[in-house]
Amino acid sequence: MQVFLTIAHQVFIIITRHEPREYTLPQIIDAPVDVELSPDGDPRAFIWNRFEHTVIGQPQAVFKRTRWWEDEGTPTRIDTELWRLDASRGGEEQHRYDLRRGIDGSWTLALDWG
Amino acid sequence: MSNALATSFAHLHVASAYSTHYGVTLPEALAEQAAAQGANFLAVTDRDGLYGAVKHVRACEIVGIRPGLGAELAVHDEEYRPLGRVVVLAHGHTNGRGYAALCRAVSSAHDGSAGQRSALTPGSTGPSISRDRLADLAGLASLTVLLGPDSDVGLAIARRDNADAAARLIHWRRALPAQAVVLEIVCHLAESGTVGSVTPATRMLALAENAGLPAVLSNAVRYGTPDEAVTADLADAARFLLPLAELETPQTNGQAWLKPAGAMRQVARMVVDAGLHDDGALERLLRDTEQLADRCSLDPVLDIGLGRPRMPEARIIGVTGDPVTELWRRATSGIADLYSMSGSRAVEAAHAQLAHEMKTVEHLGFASYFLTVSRVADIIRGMGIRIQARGSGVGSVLNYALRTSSVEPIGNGLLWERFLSPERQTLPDIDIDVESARRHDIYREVFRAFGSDRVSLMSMTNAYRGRGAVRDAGLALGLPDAQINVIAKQMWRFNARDFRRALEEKPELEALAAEVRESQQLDLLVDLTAKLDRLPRHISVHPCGVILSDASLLDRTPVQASGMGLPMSQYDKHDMDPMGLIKLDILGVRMQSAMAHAVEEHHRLTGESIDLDRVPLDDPKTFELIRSTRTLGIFQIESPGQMELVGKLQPEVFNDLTVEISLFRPGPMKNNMPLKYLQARHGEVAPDYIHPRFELILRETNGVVIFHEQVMRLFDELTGCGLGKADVFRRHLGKPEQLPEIEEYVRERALARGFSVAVIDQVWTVLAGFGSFGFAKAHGAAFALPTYQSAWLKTHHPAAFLAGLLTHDPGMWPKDLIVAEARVLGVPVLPLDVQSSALDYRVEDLADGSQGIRLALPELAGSTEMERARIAQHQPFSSLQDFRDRVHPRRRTFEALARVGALDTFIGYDRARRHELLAHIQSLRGTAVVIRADQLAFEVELPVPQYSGDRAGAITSLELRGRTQTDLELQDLNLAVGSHQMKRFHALFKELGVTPASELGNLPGGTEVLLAGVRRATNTPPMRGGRRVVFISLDDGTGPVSNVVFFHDAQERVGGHVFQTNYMLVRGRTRRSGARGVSVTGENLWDLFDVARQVKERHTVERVAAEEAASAAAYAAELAAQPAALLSSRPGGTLHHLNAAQSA
Repeated sequence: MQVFLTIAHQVFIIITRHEPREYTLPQIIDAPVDVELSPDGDPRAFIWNRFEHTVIGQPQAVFKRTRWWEDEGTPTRIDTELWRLDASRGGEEQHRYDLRRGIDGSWTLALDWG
Repeated sequence: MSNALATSFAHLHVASAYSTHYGVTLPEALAEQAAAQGANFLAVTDRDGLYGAVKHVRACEIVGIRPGLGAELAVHDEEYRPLGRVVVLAHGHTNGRGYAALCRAVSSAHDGSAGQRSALTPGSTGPSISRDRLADLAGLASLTVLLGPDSDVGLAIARRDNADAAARLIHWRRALPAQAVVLEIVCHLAESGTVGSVTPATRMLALAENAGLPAVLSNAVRYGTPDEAVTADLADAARFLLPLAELETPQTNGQAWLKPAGAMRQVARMVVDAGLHDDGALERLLRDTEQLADRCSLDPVLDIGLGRPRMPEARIIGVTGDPVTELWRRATSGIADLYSMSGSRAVEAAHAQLAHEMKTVEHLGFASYFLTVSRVADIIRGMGIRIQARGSGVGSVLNYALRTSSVEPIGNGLLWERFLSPERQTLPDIDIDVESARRHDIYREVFRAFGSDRVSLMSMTNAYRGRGAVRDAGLALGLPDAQINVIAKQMWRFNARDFRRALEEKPELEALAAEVRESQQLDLLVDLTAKLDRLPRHISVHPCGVILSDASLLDRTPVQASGMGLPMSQYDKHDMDPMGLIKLDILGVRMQSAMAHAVEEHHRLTGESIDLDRVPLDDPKTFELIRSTRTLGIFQIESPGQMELVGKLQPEVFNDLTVEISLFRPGPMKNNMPLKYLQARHGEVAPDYIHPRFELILRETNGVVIFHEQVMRLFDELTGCGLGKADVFRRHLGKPEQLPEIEEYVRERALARGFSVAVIDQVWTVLAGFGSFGFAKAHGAAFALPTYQSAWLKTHHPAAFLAGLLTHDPGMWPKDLIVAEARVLGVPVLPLDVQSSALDYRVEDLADGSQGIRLALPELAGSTEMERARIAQHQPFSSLQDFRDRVHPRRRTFEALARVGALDTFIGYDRARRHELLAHIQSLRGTAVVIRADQLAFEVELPVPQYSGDRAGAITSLELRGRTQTDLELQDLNLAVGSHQMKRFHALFKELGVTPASELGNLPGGTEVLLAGVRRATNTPPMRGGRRVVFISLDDGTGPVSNVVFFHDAQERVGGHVFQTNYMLVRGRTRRSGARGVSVTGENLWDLFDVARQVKERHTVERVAAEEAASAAAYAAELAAQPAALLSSRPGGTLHHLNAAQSA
């Protein structure tokens, strides 16, 4: 019984850690940005509006599938790559951002969750 | 360790493309990619089997990484409740124990309990293994079972039911041996709340931590690279038979690819970060993965037994002592029997050759193999079934002496080394042709004789081809069936992966190409079709492969039920040699059945027995028939291209047939060998033997190198390397990168052996140009024997032979053409008659002393097997009543029999009364009854009412009115036997000036002709220069067929008609091919029905014109003024234009 309680406890924590911020209305940015990657391949920082934003903690990648058969041309990918991360500009209060990586490797700052 | 962890990741759960409709990357590509990514281990775990296992292990050997093997299997509990899908991995370095347990687990999942299971849990009809059986096999630390997201534990986690997940895990741990259960963490970085997101993965990891079990990270791989995810989408659509837009559970995203170490580490970090785990969780997960990979690394030799052949045990093949001694004994006595008539020199030569062959057999340890094959041959012969060896094994005196083969090798110049030598690294391969109709009987008998733990059928992997690919791609896109059908019908004669190029190049695809340019969806379809091309699609039983081994067979290959019920290995022919599995090809050949039928019919009618294997091979009449090119129905030489070559070659002796058959192959055709040979044969050029020392080798083919055996002898003569080594050189000729090395060796040795540089230059050019082309003479000679035998039967026993052809349908031509041939040969095909038609075609002696062939009952369309069996069992019938009572035909069968005249016996064969008969049958009323197989008849008269006087002819059945016997036969039999279906066009042909096929042979070359008829065959044989040539064989009812060739320019003019129009009128020019043969080069082609309609319209116009008193002379003058109009060449050309061309 002990086991189940522990697991349930952990799950609860996972949910509470992310949920509250999901409900705030994001700001659509859609601007190309330069992203600096760590040796592991995770985004470490990005430059937006000439300011460097430093990533805090482990960013999470999310791949969302597309309905490619409704678009023109034959796709090379069936999903889009989105990174959700927390970052801070020069020690200011951290925001949550969604960064999108294109097939060509270019980055777009999609959303600012505040 | 930590260094290795940073740069390499061991994938433990990978589906290859052999997981059909699921994985999409071939094992070779996966292994190459893994090695390139720095991995030192890769497992392949195909769904429900080990379909890609051998290819995977071999690929790993080549790229230098450690292979692992497993299978993704469904599991059920003791009450047949599904427990989801798990990955079962074999442990390595267990002397094969792990691999054997895996094989047995897969076989268990496939064994017959599926029916019982599906009765309890509807919807789960696929293969599934019971957990108890899996637990048994996992004993002695043989297997690891990975419980991942698709297991019952993982599914409970996905439902957020952690209590259930833990409880289910406890069941697994209780059932399976300690250490056998490992949890599998999979995360495809999907959106939160969907399958494959980090949340369930991190919970699974927590479950493992709390249960104190190891957890490993996998990516549940379905493809090598991210861009192949599209193909996996198509595979899903094909698996669920639904368009992509309607899939309930499409793959969550495109992340199930073979990710390199860095990307997998990234995934691991995200999984660990998403939950609360202790500090070492990340490194522990990666370390446990690596450790399991170490445990599951298989040694290809020690674990899988790669390359170690295993023959059936001696006692199974009836040998008590040493197999070598026994083989010697049998072979020596065989030679004494078979060569006794050929003189002492032949006997001596045979014994010398046997000694030579036995040396190799002993050296390679293959004595049991030869005894096994000869045992199988004995079993087949013992069943009274015709048997004929084929393939390079025919070159062996040993096989001949053991009576495995019936072609004498020494006199035919065949070589043992083409079959077997110490230099040949592969297992020998003997193919046996048998009567097709008895093939399954043979399989069952072989299983019985050897035991089902030593025998299995072989499987074959069917790959996507054009039509299947376009259908599944179209299905995925949700295109309408009708549209897909139209496109699929055009998907032939090119590879689907070249679809786009074919659209640009092929004139008959122009309409489709235009549509593709207009439609975004069709454009996508073209690319998707190309993606599916060549991927494995499903496995089925191989048409002839039987695997023979010792009692360890089922430890080395997984088996599943084949369509015919006998177990079938999941390995295909490419896997046999590496796995050391002895495969015997027992191929059903319809011609063997047809010939057996002919021999039986002859015996039934005359009491005489024909031994086809003892027919003299120099019968002048048989060769006369072959030279006349009337070869329809004769084995191997009945196609239009073969007819033409036979006509040019004019065979005189048996060896000429071997040459002819060997020349008519893609390699020799592309290499222009037929022309070179014919020129030398007919004295147009002098044979060039290059050097006197080569004359003996090249004399039989007038200096042209045709056979593999000749190439081997040339190498041997040039270098003295021995024939075994020479065969290695021969095979390497096809590999350009090997040529310089061979050339250097040949030049050096040949100089030393006294050949001049000029001679070496010349012979090397020939050898290098030969490449891998040409044909083994052993194959040619093995084919030539049934060719000759069937020609002999056609010459001397045409009725029996044609009855065999009609019963077993062995050739390329439709039955009505064989019927037409019978008519030409003076053997009438007699109509269907319930008194005398049997289940097969029978020969009947006719009143005038000639013979006819009675149409067989199975030809009646829509009749059931039971009805036909009752007719055959109870005939003859005394009356219609008797017939009805004993056969109890269904109404539609009864009426069809009446319509087609099969019941005419009950109306005194008075065709006029068939109307009454049919009306009478239609008026019969009764309730449905169940029929016992054999029942007594009631002898009650059921007369057909006899009308006379005014009432005679009063009854007209609408189904018969206005229809000829031909119409009725085509309707109910799909075969016109009374008269030829083209007869209705003969008046039109006469009017148009169409040359009958029977008279074509009398015309000189270059004559412009009109031909017409129904299409009987279309061939696009390989051609020198690569441009496609289309052969169409037309049947107009006067002779066998006329063959029309459409070259590229004519194909462009004619467009799709060349493949689509079936009743046609053709204009062209005759082309002589040798003394007898003639074919026509087609210039244009019209639909015969269009022409008939135009002629009819023209007649109407003419009648009007005549009434207006237009003068015929003026009309003729007008025509003469426009001769060029014909060359405008569209099907709109009129009768008069055609006639003008004809007279020009």
